[in-house]
Amino acid sequence: MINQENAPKNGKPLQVNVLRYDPESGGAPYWQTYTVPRRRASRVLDVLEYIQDELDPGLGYRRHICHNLVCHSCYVNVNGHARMTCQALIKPDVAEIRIEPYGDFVPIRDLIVDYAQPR
Amino acid sequence: MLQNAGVKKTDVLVVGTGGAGCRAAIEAAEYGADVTLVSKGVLGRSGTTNMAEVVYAAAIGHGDRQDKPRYLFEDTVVEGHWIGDQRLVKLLADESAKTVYDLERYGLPWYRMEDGRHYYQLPTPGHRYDRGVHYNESTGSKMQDALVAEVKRHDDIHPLNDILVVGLMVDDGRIVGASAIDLKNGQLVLFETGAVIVATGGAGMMYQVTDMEHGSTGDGIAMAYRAGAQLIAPEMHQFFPTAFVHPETLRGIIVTSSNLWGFGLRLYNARGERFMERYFPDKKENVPRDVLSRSIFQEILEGRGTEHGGVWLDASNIDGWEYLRRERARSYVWPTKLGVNTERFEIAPTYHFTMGGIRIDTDCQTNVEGLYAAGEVVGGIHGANRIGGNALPECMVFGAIAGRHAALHARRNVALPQSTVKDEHRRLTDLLETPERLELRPKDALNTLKDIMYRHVGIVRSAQGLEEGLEKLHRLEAEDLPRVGVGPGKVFNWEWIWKCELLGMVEQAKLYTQAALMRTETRGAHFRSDFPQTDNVKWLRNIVVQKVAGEVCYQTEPVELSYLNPATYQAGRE
Ligand SMILES: Cc1cc2nc3c(=O)[nH]c(=O)nc-3n(C[C@H](O)[C@H](O)[C@H](O)COP(=O)(O)OP(=O)(O)OC[C@H]3O[C@@H](n4cnc5c(N)ncnc54)[C@H](O)[C@@H]3O)c2cc1C
Ligand code: FES
Repeated sequence: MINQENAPKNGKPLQVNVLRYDPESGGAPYWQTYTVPRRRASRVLDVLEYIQDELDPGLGYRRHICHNLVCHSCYVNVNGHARMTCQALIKPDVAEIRIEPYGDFVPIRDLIVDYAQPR
Repeated sequence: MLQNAGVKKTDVLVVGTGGAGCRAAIEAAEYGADVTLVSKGVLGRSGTTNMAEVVYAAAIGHGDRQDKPRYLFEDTVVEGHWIGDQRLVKLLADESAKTVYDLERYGLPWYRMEDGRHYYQLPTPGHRYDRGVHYNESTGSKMQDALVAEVKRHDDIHPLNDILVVGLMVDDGRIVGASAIDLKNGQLVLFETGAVIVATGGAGMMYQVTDMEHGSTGDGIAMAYRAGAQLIAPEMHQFFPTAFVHPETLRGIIVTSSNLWGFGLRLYNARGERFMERYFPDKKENVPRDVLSRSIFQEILEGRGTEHGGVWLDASNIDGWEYLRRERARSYVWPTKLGVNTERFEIAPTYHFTMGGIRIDTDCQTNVEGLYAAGEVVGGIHGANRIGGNALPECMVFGAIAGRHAALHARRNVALPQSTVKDEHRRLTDLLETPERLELRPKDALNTLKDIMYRHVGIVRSAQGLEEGLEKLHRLEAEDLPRVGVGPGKVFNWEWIWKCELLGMVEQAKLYTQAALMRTETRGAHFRSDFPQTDNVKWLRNIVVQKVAGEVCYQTEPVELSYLNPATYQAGRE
């Protein structure tokens, strides 16, 4: 967890499965798996930021957000449940998580949905 | 070639959907204009307005019957260290009371006193009377919700999400339109309009640590400057002393409000020294905000900072914990909120408010006809320091003024010249369709910029540091920017967005740094270690910058003192 001094720095990495979608290629959504070190896996937001910054700059999720539980634009589905990424803490004993776009709105690309278009 | 989605005509274009933008749109619509309201994020979910936690300052006199707008006016001028434009401060002070009632009509249920009639007003540093109306430590987001609800009641306001405005178009000294990228499909959108209101907020993202929403990149300031508008007080930026620097996604978020230092929070540098004892043996951490910020910054700058560029904050065994848990649960109880399961974490001062910005007159118009501005993007109101609770009412007061004048100014016979459209199309295509071989990522250049600004144009400034900063900025511009490429894809390509923002931020950075170098004194948030005194003889002046015939032109102007003069002013309470 975020506990900086006792964080499990060497804990087993987290497997993150993300549902990708690229409207420009015309293809169907597909799953992609990333491996994220534990120390970058406190909140779901940390995980996404790590993936985009370090592994795959092409991963789409909203970045102009508050990081602080107030803007409500960071919703995704985590293991099938709607969650705010800045609020969703990941327990240290969890080995794998599944992230999909927030189901209530039409997807634009990857995890970015069109909040003006409810489904 | 970037795909051109064509031209949209509108009476008034409002850029930004925070407090100022929404309020402007409502007023313009009430004056009969057809309004297009765009955000680079989502209506109601973007901007810093949502993040404001507590106070909304207004001299309604419920906290203290003696309070009057003229005291709010005086406090704002004096605490702004005398360089705010008094005509604008007067508007803010006189009209903020009414906006409290406007917001209630839009749906904000302000906290009331036990009598159910009077509003509950909190004390706020810098205000001589209790003026902060509020709602449940989430005043900003309640205000944003109320404004969005009101926006939606108007058929003539057309909100558009995910529209990144990238240019303002001027013909013969007048606004004729704006260019934007629709992030949902990567196409160029052009707006043809005679009235644009810029309400794009502050520029915190230019700094390594900021508590603002992550789209706060000062785009409107850069665009207005490029379009020929004057900027005022570009050197004035406010910091808040204590925010997380680690973990990465909490970077910038405020750890504790400044009046909680009395509860026994302690600061240590990387060597384990309680360094505030060195600076202030008696008061230690319990000193004013700006002093605390400077001391922390000094420790970090002098190499005694932690791995992640902060100092340690120790919150173990504090007397106030139970109080915090009870009274400030939303804001300051970290474990339940953010999973910070420790009582020791790394903190540093965080960039909080952009005092400088676009210069406006009392109609919120800039020196470019048809170009209006409101909210944090505006400069010259708060002078050298903004007091708490004055930013949200600023959005309401000036949003309304801008909306009204833009609607009255709206002209139907605007024509976007074909040549302007073609030039803009070419400029953006060149910018975004970069050859694959360009190796630098926008993020890399952005990180360089943030480091330069935080280090050299931050809390403690000096000629040497500022000159070094300028040199680094010029190097960044000459050597790095031409190598910044973008990845493939058109739909919500973050590297497109960052590249557009980056160019504007580097442009702003140079102006901010040069202006900070010019002001050879200390005033409010502008602290010069080589000129530690305030110089009212030489510097009761504002720095104004403008692009004239392609060249940047700095000048200083005497402060406008039509109501209050520092030579004769005496503070008082009735
Ligand atoms: C943590 C924190 C706490 C605060 N607490 C208080 C408080 O208690 N009281 C108080 O009075 N003030 C407070 N403030 C200050 C206050 O919140 C802001 O100054 C104010 O909300 C700014 O509102 P705005 O409408 O000018 O800009 P914002 O709310 O930031 O809105 C900017 C809008 O412009 C859009 N935008 C930006 N660039 C573009 C572009 N290129 N194209 C299209 N759209 C664009 C954004 O998407 C957004 O919609 C606080 C600030 C922070 C950071
Ligand atoms: S990032 Fe704003 S609510 Fe999650």
